[in-house]
Amino acid sequence: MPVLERFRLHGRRAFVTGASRGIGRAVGLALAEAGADVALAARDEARLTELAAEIEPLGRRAHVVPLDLAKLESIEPAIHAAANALGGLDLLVNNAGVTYRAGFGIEDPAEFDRMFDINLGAVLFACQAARPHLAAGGGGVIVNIGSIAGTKGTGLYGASKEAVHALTRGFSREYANDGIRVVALAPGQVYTDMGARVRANPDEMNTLLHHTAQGRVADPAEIAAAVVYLASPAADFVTGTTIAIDGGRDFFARR
Amino acid sequence: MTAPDPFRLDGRRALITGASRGIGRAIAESYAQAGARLALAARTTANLEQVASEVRDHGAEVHTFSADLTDAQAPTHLVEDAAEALGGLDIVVNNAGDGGHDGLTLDAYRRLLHVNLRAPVLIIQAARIYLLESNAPVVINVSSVSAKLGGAEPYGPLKAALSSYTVGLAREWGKDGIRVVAIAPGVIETDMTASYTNADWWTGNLSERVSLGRNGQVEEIAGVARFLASDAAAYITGAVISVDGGWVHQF
Repeated sequence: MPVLERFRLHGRRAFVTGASRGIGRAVGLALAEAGADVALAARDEARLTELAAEIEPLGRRAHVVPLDLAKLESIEPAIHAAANALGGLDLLVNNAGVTYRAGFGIEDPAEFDRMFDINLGAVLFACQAARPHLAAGGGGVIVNIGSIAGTKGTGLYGASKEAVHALTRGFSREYANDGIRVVALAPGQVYTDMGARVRANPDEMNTLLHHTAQGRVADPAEIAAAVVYLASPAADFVTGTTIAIDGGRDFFARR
Repeated sequence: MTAPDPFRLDGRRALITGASRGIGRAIAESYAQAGARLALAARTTANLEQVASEVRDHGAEVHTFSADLTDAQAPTHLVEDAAEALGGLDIVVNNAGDGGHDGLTLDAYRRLLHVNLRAPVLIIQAARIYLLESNAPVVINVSSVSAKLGGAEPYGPLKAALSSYTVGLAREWGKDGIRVVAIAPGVIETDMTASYTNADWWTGNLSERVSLGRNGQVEEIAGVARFLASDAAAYITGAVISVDGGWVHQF
């Protein structure tokens, strides 16, 4: 097979969480451009409908799934319904995530629960719900969006993302017998709404860029490109690992 | 007069959770032998009183507390009660954990999230004001080799979260002189692991998984916990120390 053909996703059926904005939106578009049909899940139905309208002219199906990932019990039925609508499922992208205001502390236990439910719980239950559909298609891929914040240790948000990297390792072993690959990406700072708070703080931003070799923020499309690679046959021997896409985040400051 | 032994914990005030059994109990005994004053917590006090009476035989001062760490308020109250009983805190050992072997359900997920992560964070948060007053403050979180291995049930991921939290908090609290470290035990023979540590499927290929070819004993964690709490470890912070017989180093 010509090498570029290995990167194609002809006819694959994907479920993408957090697809209304930022990285998730870019992932939805990129997967469709690479040939996949997509189920787009998020709370904001209007934004998803706009994205679906952008995708359909590419000749791919886009199925809108209004879904609040903090409601963990609603994830399984949503994935089953999407798999029925698309005629199966080959790819799950667990992208939805939220930041955490309280840093290392817990001011409100409900706020802690909500952040962990979206960043960790939703990933666990989405993997569990998607597994039989992926297995039925002869395999498939789960791509989890973690964060370099987890590896570096940045409080409870980072802790939730390190948990995602760990579940990726664990699921990769458990799901391998079904032919399912499970991989994670650990983005650094990306130009999204979620990163707006950091970008608005010059001190925090300067420190961050000073510790990034490239000295810049990523475009969401740069993360989406890696998702396409990991989802594709080009990455058939890649599983369990977390790949950093962070412009070179080091322990040492840039000169 | 000889110099003080940097491995001793004489007079240090230590709170240890999950102290009625297993690793927590062994840490309590080793701290008592090193001269520490103890606040021991567990869900039920029956076993805990037994541990306390054994530890008192070493001449140690011991206070016991029952705390349900699935509760959102209990961790804070525990710290306040322990600090009041001991007149402050120097050492906090977050040892209590729930291995959860009942599969991935909403109830199990939430219970494990609360016991393995929320409770340690709430305890650390409440202990900060006491640790700031200490001459040798240290937080020791008991993580697990499962953090590296992962696992579908949330135990491994939550231990990974605790390790990540440890690394970050050490950086955050370094300026205050508070050390924050973690121990990542491998398979230690305890009640929590009894279902498989002696099973044929586990012991049969143990040497393929563990470099030393055997399970660990609780004393082998307690010794490291004593070292990390002591002045001998004064320059160690933000470290996650693997105590797993060389498990994950197998190729």
